[in-house]
Amino acid sequence: MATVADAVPRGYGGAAPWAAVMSWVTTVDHKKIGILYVITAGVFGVVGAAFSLVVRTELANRGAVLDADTYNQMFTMHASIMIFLFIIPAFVGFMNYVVPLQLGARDMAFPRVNALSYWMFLFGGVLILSSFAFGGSASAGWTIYAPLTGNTGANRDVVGAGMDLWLVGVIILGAASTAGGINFMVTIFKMRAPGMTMFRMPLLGWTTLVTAFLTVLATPVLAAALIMLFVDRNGGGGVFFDPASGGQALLWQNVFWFYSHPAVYIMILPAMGIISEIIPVFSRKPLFGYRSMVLALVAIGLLSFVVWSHHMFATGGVFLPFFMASTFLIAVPTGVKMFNWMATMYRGSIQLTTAMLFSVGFLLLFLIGGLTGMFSAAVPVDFALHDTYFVVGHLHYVLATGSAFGIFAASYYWFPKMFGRFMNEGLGKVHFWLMFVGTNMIYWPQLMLGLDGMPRRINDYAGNGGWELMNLIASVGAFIAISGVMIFLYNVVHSMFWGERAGDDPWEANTLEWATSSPPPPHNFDEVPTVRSERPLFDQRRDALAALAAGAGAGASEPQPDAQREG
Amino acid sequence: MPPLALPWASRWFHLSLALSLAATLFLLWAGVAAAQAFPPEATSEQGEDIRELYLVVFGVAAAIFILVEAAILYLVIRYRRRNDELPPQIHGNRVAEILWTAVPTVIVVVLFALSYVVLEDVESAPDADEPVEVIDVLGQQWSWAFNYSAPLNATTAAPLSRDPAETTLQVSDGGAFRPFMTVRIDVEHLRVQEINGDTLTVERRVDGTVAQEHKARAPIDRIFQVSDTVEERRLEGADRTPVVTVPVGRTVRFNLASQDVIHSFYIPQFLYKLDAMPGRVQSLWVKVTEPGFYQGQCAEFCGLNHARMIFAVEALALAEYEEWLRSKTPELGAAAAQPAAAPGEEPAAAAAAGGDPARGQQLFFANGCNVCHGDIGQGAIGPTIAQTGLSLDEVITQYRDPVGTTMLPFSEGAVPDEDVADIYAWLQTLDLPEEIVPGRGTSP
Amino acid sequence: MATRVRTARRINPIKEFFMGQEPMTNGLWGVVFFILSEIMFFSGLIAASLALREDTLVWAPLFDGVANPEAVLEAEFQTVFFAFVLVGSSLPMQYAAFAIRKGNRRGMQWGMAITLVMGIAFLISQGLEWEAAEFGIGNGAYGATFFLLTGFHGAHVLGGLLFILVLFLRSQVGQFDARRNTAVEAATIYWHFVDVVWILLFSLLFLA
Ligand code: HEA
Ligand code: HEA
Ligand code: HEC
Ligand code: CUA
Ligand SMILES: [Cu+2]
Repeated sequence: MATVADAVPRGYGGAAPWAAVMSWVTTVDHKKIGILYVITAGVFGVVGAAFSLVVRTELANRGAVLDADTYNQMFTMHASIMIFLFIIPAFVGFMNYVVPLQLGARDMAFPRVNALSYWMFLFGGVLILSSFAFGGSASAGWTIYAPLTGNTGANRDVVGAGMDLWLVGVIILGAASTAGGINFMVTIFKMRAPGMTMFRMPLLGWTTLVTAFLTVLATPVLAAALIMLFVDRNGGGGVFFDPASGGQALLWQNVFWFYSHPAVYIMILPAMGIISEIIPVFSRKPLFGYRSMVLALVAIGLLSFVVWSHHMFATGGVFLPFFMASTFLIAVPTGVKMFNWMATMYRGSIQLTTAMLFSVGFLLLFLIGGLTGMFSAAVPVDFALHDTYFVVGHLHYVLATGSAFGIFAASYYWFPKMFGRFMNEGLGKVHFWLMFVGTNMIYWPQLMLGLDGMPRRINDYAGNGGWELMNLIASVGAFIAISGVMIFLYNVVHSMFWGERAGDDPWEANTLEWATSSPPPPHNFDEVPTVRSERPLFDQRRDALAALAAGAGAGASEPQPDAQREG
Repeated sequence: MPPLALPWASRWFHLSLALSLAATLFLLWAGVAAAQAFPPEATSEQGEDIRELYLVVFGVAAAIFILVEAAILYLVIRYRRRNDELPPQIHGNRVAEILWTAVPTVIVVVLFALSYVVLEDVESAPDADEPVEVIDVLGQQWSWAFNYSAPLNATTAAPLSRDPAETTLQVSDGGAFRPFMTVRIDVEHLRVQEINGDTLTVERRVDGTVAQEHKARAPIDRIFQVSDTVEERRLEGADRTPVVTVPVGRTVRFNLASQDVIHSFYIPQFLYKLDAMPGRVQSLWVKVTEPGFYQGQCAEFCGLNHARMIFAVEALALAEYEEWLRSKTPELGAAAAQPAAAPGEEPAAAAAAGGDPARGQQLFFANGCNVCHGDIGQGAIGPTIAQTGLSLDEVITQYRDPVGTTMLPFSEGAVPDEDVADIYAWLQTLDLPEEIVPGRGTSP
Repeated sequence: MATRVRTARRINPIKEFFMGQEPMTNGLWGVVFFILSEIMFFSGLIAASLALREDTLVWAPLFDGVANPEAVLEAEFQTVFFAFVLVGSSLPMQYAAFAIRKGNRRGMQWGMAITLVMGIAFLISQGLEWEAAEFGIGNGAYGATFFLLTGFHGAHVLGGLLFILVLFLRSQVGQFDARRNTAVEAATIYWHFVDVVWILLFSLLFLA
């Protein structure tokens, strides 16, 4: 084990500041790229959250603050940023950092492609945001439904450079994620440490693999769709998606959701992988039902390609029974995962660190998201709920209290590995409780508003509907949640420099990333431990203990290896 | 093991416990006190079915919710770390895993079956001999227009045929064709040529210019546009809410279409919505059960003023409804008769203006002007423009750069100046019958 | 399922044929997954084209809203001939891969050169086809899908040619031998993919 002194950045931050900057700009090290991804995504996340405050302010004041156009830009960019520039890249960042380490690999399979992906992501993101400098951003929702976005007629369309910049930006982001997905697939298939079979791979590796497959299979279809829309807008005259020119309005929705439904699982599976790492560690138990977890994961991946039309139930152009059945079915593998996590905690020895709190928060609140998804899956119920705030509530419970909670959990969990220091746990708990209370105050009223018939994407609503109170609660909740986020940001910056030092393996974890120093050296491992189970470090501790017991005959306070079953 | 040694571990634990309890209580309060965990009471038969299904799904979800949340909280509290011992290392349990795969499967299969039954119910047409009221709904940025056709029974209310082999267009549902539908069918390479009484002549411009005739199967006895609006200031800028009047206890078939982008016809108290898609017409069956005044709103994002695209449904008891219909009859008789008569007369004034009124009439319908200004320019959503006092140039200006936001601009490319001149010429020929009280005399 | 540390492995003849290397290198895996994503990309475009076609009375370019079946492109001699040229160019490319596996760099260069010539010939023919078409990308769904599909395929051919050209130049300075030839295998697989796509597109655009 390395000493604390060793843990101080090896290869991080050179002599001259300029050299330090350049070492980040030119890096092909998966760890640095991972950190770049997370930080960049965090910055975008702050912008997205700021926009959500604008949205909430407008809704608390019944449309008295902004004009409709600004509002439309705000919620469109809020969602686009959160999805394409915050959640997805933040996960990519953590996977980038952690997965090669967990596999015992030196780096990703294609380090330079990895760097290229990051820079493309940054460029695409800046391109999308730059639209504010060119007369306003896209303003048709993140789903940019054609023919509204087709730009073929007068007045009625979403015109302007913002929409085109959005299209081009997302195409670039898509190319970056596709390249990243290929990179992860090859890394996982080819670069595991000796002895690490597929079924000894940490679950985050599996979720990364399935996520990568979804990315590689679905994103190119989105690229095709975006290109067609781009042609429609620029010279094509709406031949693809505008019925007035011989196109089909529903075609857009079909190609868009063929990507975007898998995309919502691209946004949740990594969180599930993260939770699957954290819960066993802080329960001091192996993950319950490893194989059924993997099977469930694969099942979710496969099913996610045949449910896309559940976003189109109310269009009148969908074969309803099939998509209803497949959508319902997705609850089964997801349920298996829920129950396995719970069984992992069962009879465990649970320590509620902030990372674990966020994981438990994920379980508690993702469940609400999943169950509200069941309401929409029942087609006739969706006739009532589609495009109301109920769906907005659903998507936030799965995304904001699911995916984003996963990101927060990952931050607290891997921060010591990344920077050699703990994040402050006290502030962490304050952060968690502000988030937990705040987000519920936002999204639960949204569910109720939706049931009461409040449509989404409106900046103004009737004063006689009794919707003001709920909207006010939601807006207050937003400010509470964001104050939690600010504490988190302070915590990150503070802990980076002044946090309590953490050793190599502060959590007594099981996977290989904890077998090297914190932060790890550029080449990751001086020596990769042999892998005999999915918990190599657990094996190591047990062996050491056994050796100790054999030698001295006493090993009182150290964990006892269990006799009944071994890794 | 530093984390365990942290002094506040157990204090935090108690605080967490208290706070999770508080959060749960808060959720319960929010759900129960506000009593909005349920959709509004349904006021249509279909809505009642949907609401029942909602209650079933809600029951199942609530049970799962309470069980699973309670179990998670219990586990976290019960198995918190008390000492440094390694707990039993359980890797799995086949029976348990099969159980929690099988039980949810059964649950979702049951939910699917129930939903399927309700779906069939909600989407099915009424019995063949049941009388049906047909109302055409046209969505457009950012307003709604409602068109009434002859009452039908369900059998004649066949959906639009999209079969290319069919020579006649089944635009009409056994009684009357509705002009705006023809306009939408236009996108399938059909152009309206002439509207003459009960006959609609269309031209199929697929491989040449074969003109075909379509005869409506029955004389048009009723086709009119509602011009009712309510002065219900729900929203700034949407001060005139279009109202659609429907009977209670008789099935209404709403035929939905859109002039431009996708809209969605949503009435919360019917618990139902269906998109109004451009390029196609699709129907929605509703049998209202309670008289009343229900608010509706466009539910699909459709651009700038999507939030303002509201409407209202006034459900009248059958007798009152019939009464209301009768009160509209002169208007409809005239509206239907007028186009037939128009091409014949060609006043000198219009001819002098250089326009061709006959062509203008077609253009008026083909461009959907009738939707807002009424079939004979009597006014509805838009003001009366029959015999407009404006000059041709002013009308052209209104075309290119309309006053207000309701009327959409038509570009030079879509409607050239000559076409406007023709429409203008036709507008000048229109002689509003005495009985017609124009929808609204003036601009808003 | 458990793939233990690999010691002896059975040779998979199909992989052996196409990739030559067992076990496959990272680069080859990368190309395989890349092609997977490309397949999805073309599937997206093709599916859209089929959907639009399904919904149209007469599948032909539109001029002012009127379909003109006259303008529809037929499989004429030139098109067919150069389709065969492109698909046929898979042979010299595969020959190049075989040659370098045996360490025959000359042979590989010849294979590549012939592939380059055939590919360029195809591109030129494709350019002429575009020239000759009476319709543009704005002439209805037919025109739009035609140009989008052939355009993206053409871009892929061009990309493949550049790839092969770079390899050719690299081999001029003495790179690649019987053991280090991943890039050549990768280019070969990619080239086969581009050719197969054309078989599909050709049937779709000119025959169906
Ligand atoms: C992380 C992202 C994420 C995830 C994971 C999900 C998960 C699910 N979603 Fe969601 N969804 C979105 C993101 C996501 N969704 C977004 C962003 C939208 C809106 C897009 C837009 O229009 O802007 C949306 C919209 C959306 C719709 C369209 C609504 C509409 O517009 O009308 C539907 C309809 O069926 C749906 C269903 C589901 C279902 C069934 C699941 C399932 O996967 C959930 C499964 C989980 C559980 C059910 C809980 C755990 C299971 C158990 C404890 C077992 C026991 C349970 C049972 C037997 C029921 N979602
Ligand atoms: C991941 C996705 C995500 C997240 C996190 C959020 C977070 C929030 N959302 Fe958003 N939202 C969407 C995705 C998301 N949303 C989508 C897809 C839509 C649909 C848009 C459409 O209709 O097109 C939508 C729409 C939407 C609406 C409806 C607009 C409308 O229909 O008119 C509203 C209204 O209140 C809203 C509010 C909020 C609020 C108050 C927050 C938050 O403020 C909650 C608190 C903050 C966080 C949960 C995390 C913030 C994270 C950071 C600041 C980064 C931290 C840094 C690191 C980890 C390094 N959102
Ligand atoms: C969306 C509904 C709508 C459509 C479709 C529409 N209009 Fe209008 N039109 C209006 C409204 C509303 C006004 C009143 C303008 C205002 O003051 O806001 C108006 C005003 C006018 C005026 C000026 C009337 C006056 O006295 O000021 C003319 C002329 C006119 N429209 C002609 C047409 C013609 C011709 C067409 C068809 C090509 C057409 N409109 C299509 C809604 C519409
Ligand atoms: Cu029409 Cu929204
Ligand atoms: Cu979905």
